[in-house]
Amino acid sequence: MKAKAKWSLVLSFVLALSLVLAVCGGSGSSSNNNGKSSNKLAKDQTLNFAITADIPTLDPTQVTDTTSNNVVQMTMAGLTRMHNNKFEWDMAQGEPEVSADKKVYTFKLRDQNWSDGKPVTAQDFVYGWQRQNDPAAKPAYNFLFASVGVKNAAKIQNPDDPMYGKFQNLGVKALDDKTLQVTLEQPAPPFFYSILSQAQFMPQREDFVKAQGKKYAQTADSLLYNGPFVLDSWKKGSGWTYKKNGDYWNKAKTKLDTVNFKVVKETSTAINLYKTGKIDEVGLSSEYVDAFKKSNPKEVKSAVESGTFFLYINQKTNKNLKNLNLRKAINAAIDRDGLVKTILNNGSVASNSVVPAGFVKGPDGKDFRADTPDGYPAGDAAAAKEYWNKAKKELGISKLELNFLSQDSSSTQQLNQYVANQLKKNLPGVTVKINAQPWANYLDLNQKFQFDLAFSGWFPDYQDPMTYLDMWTTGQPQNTTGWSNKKFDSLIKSASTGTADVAKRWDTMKQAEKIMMADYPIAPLYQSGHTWAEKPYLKGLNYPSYGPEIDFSRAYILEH
Amino acid sequence: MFRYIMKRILYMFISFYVVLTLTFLSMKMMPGTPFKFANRLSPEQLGQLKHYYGLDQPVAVQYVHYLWNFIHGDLGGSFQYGMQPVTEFLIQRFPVSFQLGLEAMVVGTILGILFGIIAGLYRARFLDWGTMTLSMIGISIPSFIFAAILQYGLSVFVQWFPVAGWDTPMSHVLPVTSLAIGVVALIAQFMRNEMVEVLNQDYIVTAEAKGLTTSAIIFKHAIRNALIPVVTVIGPMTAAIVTGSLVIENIFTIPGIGSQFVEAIVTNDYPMIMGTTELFAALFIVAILVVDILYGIIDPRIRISGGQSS
Repeated sequence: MKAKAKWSLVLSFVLALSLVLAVCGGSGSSSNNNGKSSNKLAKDQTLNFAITADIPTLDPTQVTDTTSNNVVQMTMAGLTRMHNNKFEWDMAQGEPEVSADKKVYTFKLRDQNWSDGKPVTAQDFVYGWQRQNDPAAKPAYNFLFASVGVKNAAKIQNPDDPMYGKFQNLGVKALDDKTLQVTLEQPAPPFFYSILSQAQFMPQREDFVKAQGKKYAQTADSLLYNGPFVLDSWKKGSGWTYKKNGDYWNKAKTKLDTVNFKVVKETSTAINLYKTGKIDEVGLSSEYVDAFKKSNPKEVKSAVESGTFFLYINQKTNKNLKNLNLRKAINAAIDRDGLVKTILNNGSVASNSVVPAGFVKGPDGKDFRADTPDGYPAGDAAAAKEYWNKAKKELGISKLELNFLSQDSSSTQQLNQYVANQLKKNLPGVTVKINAQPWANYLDLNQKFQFDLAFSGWFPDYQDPMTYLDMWTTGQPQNTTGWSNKKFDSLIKSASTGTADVAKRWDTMKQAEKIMMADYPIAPLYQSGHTWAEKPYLKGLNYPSYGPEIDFSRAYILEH
Repeated sequence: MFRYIMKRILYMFISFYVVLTLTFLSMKMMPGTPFKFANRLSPEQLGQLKHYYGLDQPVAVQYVHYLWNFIHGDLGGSFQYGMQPVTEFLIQRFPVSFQLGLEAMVVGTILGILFGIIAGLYRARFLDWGTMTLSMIGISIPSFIFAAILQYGLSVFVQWFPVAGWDTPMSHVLPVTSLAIGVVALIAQFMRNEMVEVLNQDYIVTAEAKGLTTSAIIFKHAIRNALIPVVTVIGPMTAAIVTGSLVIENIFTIPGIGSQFVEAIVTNDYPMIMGTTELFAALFIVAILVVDILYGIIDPRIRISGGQSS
């Protein structure tokens, strides 16, 4: 009995103490915020992050995912660099010399060394780009070269073309050590300079790649760096560390000395690490957002990303879904505001369009969504019932079962239920069968048209509306709806080839989106958002809609 | 004994080969694609990738190809991780899981046997049902609940231990404890039941009649005999626990092999599925052999001689 009493005394003391500490801790950090020391840089410029997965690959030729792309963009420098959604000249000294037909671009390179002390040359760019088009290097994402129209890229990548694999014919040439000439099939599209910041367009040095052989890019020291940071260590499975690159030409803008990434798969563990000060930033999944907004309101930040999420409506194998009124009914039946507020709750916004808002500005300096900020909404629940009644008459049906293909992650499961319930509730007589699958299998079923509705998302490959639009043309592998519209196809074709007249191209893409949304081949749902908490002393971290996913290249830490 | 072990080792190779083959075939029947960005590629580009990795060949050809490489020590590269060699993942990740599992097994076994003996000796008394109630709780509640409670209570609330990681000795305490609780509980149950049974045996009465001291009876006769079934459980349990606990490793961010296996299956990372399964199978097979040999050491009656086994 005595021992018990003692323990409860100790426990209540600990409880009281930690409450006091929590209150002090809270007021302490906020007073620092308003206090005099708030603008002084801390001596220790170390930033600690948690991330859910390890780096899949460091080899710029193998990069397909955001984490790998992020590492490459933080540690390497291409001709340009994305920061705050705008491109800046990086290895290119500035505007290239452009030929009269706007097809040939001659870049002057800056003096910059690789991390082993040898200079970065134009030949390194030529080799890097050619390697992306060399089948022997097993490139994973090189179609970007064709998207931007680098000369012969499409032919070199096509196994049925006589030029297949002959990467020497790629439109890139070193005129001398510091001059790089890029030749395109047509005048450069507006996203030409921004795409040059991507991992696929980084320089790689031939002698180093060959000397490393199979070991190339397998560890932190089997890769060369020329960017703001170098990868100092990579402990596979547990995390990696960046150090500031003291030889980077623009090093004055890098304030952080060390950046640590720790692989933490459980959100609750990441939250606990943040609470105990072991990491300075933490991504919040929907169930944590409200609690954090209450306990640490000043630390919660949100950004809208450029991922678009939608339902494929399969009219190829399901004849009923060929009916426009039925597709409109499906579109109108889903309350998107409810979805983003109650289920996602992470900064995502409702969407009724193909191209997201705040992603890219046109030649007029206005956002693509400026004229149609709300997109093309099909209407509310009442409209849904009307469309559904019309569809029932036209099709001669009274009931309909829909097979809804989606993914099986815990966050998607809630969305699946929500969408299914909305359809059932607002379209009486409709039943929905959810088929939740792992990604690998989802892709397979989606490509084989084994679904009626399929939940999917799309992130941009380059900073241009076309990255969301051209996938819907007839016969594109991503167009798993069976929708086909000749007018749409011809508009996309003219915007793809008519890159010379920028203003006309811009309008053509807007027109194409309008035509598509009149037909509702898909049901747009939302534009993704990201919500996180960051310590008040951390400044300058950003999550841009295009470019490095987590941009800490200019972040810094204040005294605290 | 030698012949017996040689024979067992031959069987081990056969069972390993069967496991390898069955895994390969069932893996090839799994639906889905190993290429994460298959939706971004045209059929030609996808065909190209399949060709690069030999996935366009008949399964029989792929199987022979895999065996050939396996014999030469090449387990291939991970699709999920830019073709980094699978062997490297196993070499880096497995020792971590092994260490975690072994620590939990050692702690769990010692405490479990201890509690079991106590409960068995004090049968139907307070110590017995107290220990057994605790052990029932330990068996029924999954380890990740303990992990979450321990992490929040001892790392966030009072901050005695680090929240996560696997570096300092202090960082081992919580994950090992969470994992060991289940082991303690299960082994305590087993040990108690065996003790109770053994203490009722005639030879214990004989020993008492011979005038042996209580401690001699308990240590020399009771515990030793009660241990035999416990050893049977410990073998496969060790194999299961050292091959990684997905949940515990995730909660305490331990870079072990547990999550690798699950991730590989979900993403159709064929070489990784094969590599991790082979490792698990090999461990299980070896663990069972070790258990059989241990029997002989504990119980002289089971000791096998070359002449008898043939």
